[in-house]
Amino acid sequence: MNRIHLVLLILFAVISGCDHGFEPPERGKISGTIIFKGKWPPAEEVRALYFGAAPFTPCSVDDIVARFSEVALSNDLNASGTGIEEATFSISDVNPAVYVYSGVYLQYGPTVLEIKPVGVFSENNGAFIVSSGQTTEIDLTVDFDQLPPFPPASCSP
Amino acid sequence: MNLRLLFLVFFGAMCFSHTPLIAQSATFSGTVQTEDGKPFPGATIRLSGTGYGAVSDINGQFTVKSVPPSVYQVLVSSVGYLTQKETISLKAGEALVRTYRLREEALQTDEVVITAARREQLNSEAPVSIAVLGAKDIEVRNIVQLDDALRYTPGVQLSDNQVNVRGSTGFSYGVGSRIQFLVDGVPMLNADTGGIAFNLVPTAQIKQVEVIKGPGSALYGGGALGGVINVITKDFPEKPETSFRSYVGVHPPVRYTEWKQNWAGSQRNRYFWGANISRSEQVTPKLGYWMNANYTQTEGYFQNSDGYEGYLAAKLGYQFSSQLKMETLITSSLTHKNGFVYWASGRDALRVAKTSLLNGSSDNEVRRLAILPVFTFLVNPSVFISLKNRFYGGTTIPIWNGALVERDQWTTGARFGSELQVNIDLKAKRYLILGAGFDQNATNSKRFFGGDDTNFAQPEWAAFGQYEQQLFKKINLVAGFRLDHYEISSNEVVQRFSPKLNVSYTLNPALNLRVAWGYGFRVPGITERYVNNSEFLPVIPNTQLRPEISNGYEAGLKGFFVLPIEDWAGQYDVAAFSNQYTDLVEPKFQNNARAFQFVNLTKGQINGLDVSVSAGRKDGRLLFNLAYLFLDGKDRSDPNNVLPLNYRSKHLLQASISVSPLRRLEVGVDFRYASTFERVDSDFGNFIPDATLHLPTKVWDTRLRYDFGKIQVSLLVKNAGEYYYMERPAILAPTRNFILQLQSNL
Repeated sequence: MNRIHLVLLILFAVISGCDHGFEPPERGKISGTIIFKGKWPPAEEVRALYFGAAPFTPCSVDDIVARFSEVALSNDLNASGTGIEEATFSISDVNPAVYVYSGVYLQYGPTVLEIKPVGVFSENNGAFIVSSGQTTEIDLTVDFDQLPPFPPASCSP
Repeated sequence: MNLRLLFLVFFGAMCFSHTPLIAQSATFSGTVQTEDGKPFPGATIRLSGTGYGAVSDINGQFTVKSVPPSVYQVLVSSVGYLTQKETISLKAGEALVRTYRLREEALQTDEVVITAARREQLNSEAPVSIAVLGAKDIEVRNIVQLDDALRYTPGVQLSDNQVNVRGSTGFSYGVGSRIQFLVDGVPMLNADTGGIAFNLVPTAQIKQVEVIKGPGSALYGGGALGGVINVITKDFPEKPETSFRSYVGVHPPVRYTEWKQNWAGSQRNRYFWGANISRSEQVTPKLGYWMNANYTQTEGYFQNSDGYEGYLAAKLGYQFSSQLKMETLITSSLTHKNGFVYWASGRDALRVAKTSLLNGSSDNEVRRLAILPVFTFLVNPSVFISLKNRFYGGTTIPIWNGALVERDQWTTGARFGSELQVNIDLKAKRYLILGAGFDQNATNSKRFFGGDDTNFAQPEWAAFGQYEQQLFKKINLVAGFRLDHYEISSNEVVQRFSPKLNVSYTLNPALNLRVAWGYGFRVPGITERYVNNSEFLPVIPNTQLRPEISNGYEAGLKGFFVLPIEDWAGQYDVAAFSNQYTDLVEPKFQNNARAFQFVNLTKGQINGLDVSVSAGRKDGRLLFNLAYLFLDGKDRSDPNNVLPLNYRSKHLLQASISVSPLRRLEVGVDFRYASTFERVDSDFGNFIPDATLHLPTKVWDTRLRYDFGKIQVSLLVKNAGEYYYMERPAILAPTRNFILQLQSNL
C-alpha cells in the first residue's frame, strides 16, 4: 500500500496547492459628460457641484447623509468656476451595483446637509449598472431653469 | 370517460383471470452466497420482465412464491458484484431451489437497468448511453439531496439545480427542466414551473439512479429533451432493517475580506446539520414496506440562505395474488427557506441584492405531496401490464417579513394522471411494449399570473409503442414512437410525434457497439407561458411559446477489459453524439414592454464525445473512475453569425478514486473540472452586477470512512481546495465545508 499512500500524499499536495478560483473583482468606474443649460444661480450659492450615484432612492437629504458611504461621488465639477457649459467626470473605485438614483448635486451652503439635486439621470427609469472592472458611461443635462423635484415622486406615500 | 372504461376493463380482467393461475403456481427459492460460500444478504433476485422477485435475507436465502409456470430469465444482482443470469423453467406445483454465488467485482459491472427500454435488461445490452449511480455512491458522499449526487454522474453537469446532460440545458432563469425526471418510472416534473423538486426524493431509499443521455421523448414524452433521470427506490428486505444517519457540517469563513465586510454573518463558522431514519421490512410474503424521515437545517453560507426542510416518505407493497401486485410510494416534503437568487455584486458576493429596483431574494415555504400507486399484473408469463398512477401537488407560500403571506398569494400546482403499459414477450428475443397515458396539469397563482384569470391547465394525452428484435443472435434492433397531445388552451393544441431507432451489435461478450437516434421535446411550462409578475424582475406572459425540440444521434461502444495487472479489471463506454435543438426558450428583455419575456430564441447544435472508464481491483479495495465530456456547442440562431452556445462548458472532467488501505477504512477523493462557459450572454447582465462573470470549476471532495461494525463514521471535506466558483450567474457555489457523518444499520 506504500504506492497508494504516495498517491494520496501527492493528491493532498495538489489539492492544497491549487488556486482558489474566483476572487473579489476590481471595482468599476463611472464616467460621463454633464451639459449645463439655463441661468446659473449666483456664484455664492454654488459652493460645489458633484455627480453622485446612489444604489437607493433618497427621500430626503438625511437619507443621503445616512448612507453616504454607498454613494459614488465625483470631484467638484465646478472647480473651474460657474457658468461652464460642459463638464466631464470620472469616478474610479466604484462598488459594482445597480444605481437607481443618480444626478448632479449642488452644494449651496457650507455643510453637507445643504445640498440639492439639480439634474437627475432619467434614462431606463434612472437605473444603471456598474460591473466589476468596467466603465459605465453616463451623460446628462442640468437645466437650472427646470430643476428636478426633490424628494422624487416615488417617495410619495 | 374513456379512462374510466379502461380502468374497468383492466381491473375486471384482473379479477376474473388470476384465480386459475394460483392453483397452478410454482415456487422458486434458493440461496445467494459469496464466492467463498458465505451467506449473501441483500442481493436482488428478479424474474426478468415479470415484476416477480425477492431480496435475499441475512442467511442469503430467498423465496419467490406463487409464480406462474413458464420459462424465465433469472437475474441475481447486487452493487459491486457481477450479475448472475440463468434461464429456468418452472412447472405447475414445482418448488425449484437454486444456489447462486456472486463474484465480487471492483466495478458495478453490468447492473440491471430498466429505463433504457422500459423493461429490465443488463446495462451492457442497453442500446443507448446510460449512467448508473448506486446507493453506496450516495451514502458514502453524505448526499442529502439528489441533485448533489448527479454532480458525480458521468456526462452530467449542474447549473445550480438545473441538470445538464451532455450540455442539453445550459442555464435559463425560470425555464423548466429539459430533462425528464422519473421516480420509479413515474414522471415527477413540477406542475407550475416544470422544474424538479429534488428534496422530495427519499435519498436513503434510493436503490439506483439511471441517467439516459440523449433525447428520450419516444419513451417518456415531454421534458425528455436532453435526457431522462429515473430514480429507482429500494425493494423490501426479507429481514427488518433500520438505519440511522446524522451529520453536522460547517462552512468556515471565506478567505476574502471584501466578501466579509458587508455581512456580519460571514465572520463566523456557518453550521448545517441533519438526520435521517429509515425502516424497511417484508412483513409477510404479501406485505412489505419502508419508511424514511429526513430533517436538515442550515445557517447558509451566504446571507439570506438559512432555513430548514424535511420529508416523510413511505413505500407500501402488497401482493394481492400471484398475478397482481401493488406498490405505492407516498412522499411529502416541507421546505422553509430564505432564497438567495443573486448577489449584490462580485465584490459583495455573500450579500443578496436588495435595492429599491432589484430583489435578489425569494423567501418561501414550499409544501409538496406525491402519491404514486403502481399496479403490476401478470396476465400470463409472456404478458405483463403495469398501471402507474400519480397525484403530485405543491404549494409555494411566500415569506414576507418573516411570516407566511395570506392564502390569496399562494401558488398551487397539481398534476395527476395514469399510464398503462403492456409488455409482451413475443419469445425468440422479441419484445413489444405498448402504452397510453393521460396527465392533467393545473396551476393557480394570483401572485405570478396577476389579472383576473389565475387558473391555467395543460392536459396531455399520449400513446407509445416499442418493438425489439434480436437478429442473427448478435444484432438487437429497437424501434419506438410516442404521440403526445397537449391542450395548451381551449382553442390551441400541440401534438408531437417522437420516433426512435436503436441498433446494437454484440461483437463479443466483452464488447457492444451501438447506434441510436431519437427525438425529444419539451412543452413550455405554465409559468413560462403565463407569468406576469415584477417581484424580482418585470416579466410578462407569452402565450405563443412553441415546444422546444431536439433530435439526437449517437454512436458508441461499451465493454469490459482485464488489465495486465493481477486482479485488475475495468469497463468503458465511449460515445460520439450530435444533438440539434430548436426553439429553445430563453428569457429576453423586451425594450418596448420594458420587461422580460420567455421567447423561443435559440437554435443550437451540440457535437461531442462522452468517455467513461472505470477500473479497479476485483476485491474492491481500489477503485478508479474517470469520465470526460467534450462539447462543441454552436448557437445557429443567426446563420450568418454562429456563436458558441450560451452557458456551456467545452470540457467536463470527473474523476474519483476510492482506496481501502485497511479492511475497515476507506479513503476517497472526487474531482470535478468544467472549463469556463464558452459564452455568457444574458440580458440579466444588464440588470445584475457581475452576472456575466464565470471561470473554470475545479473542485476536490475528500472523504474518510471507518467501519466500527454497527456504526460507520465518516469525515468529509467538500470543496477541499477552497475553490470559489459559480455554477450559474451571480451566485457562489458551495464554499469549502467539513462534515462529520455517523451511520448505523441495525
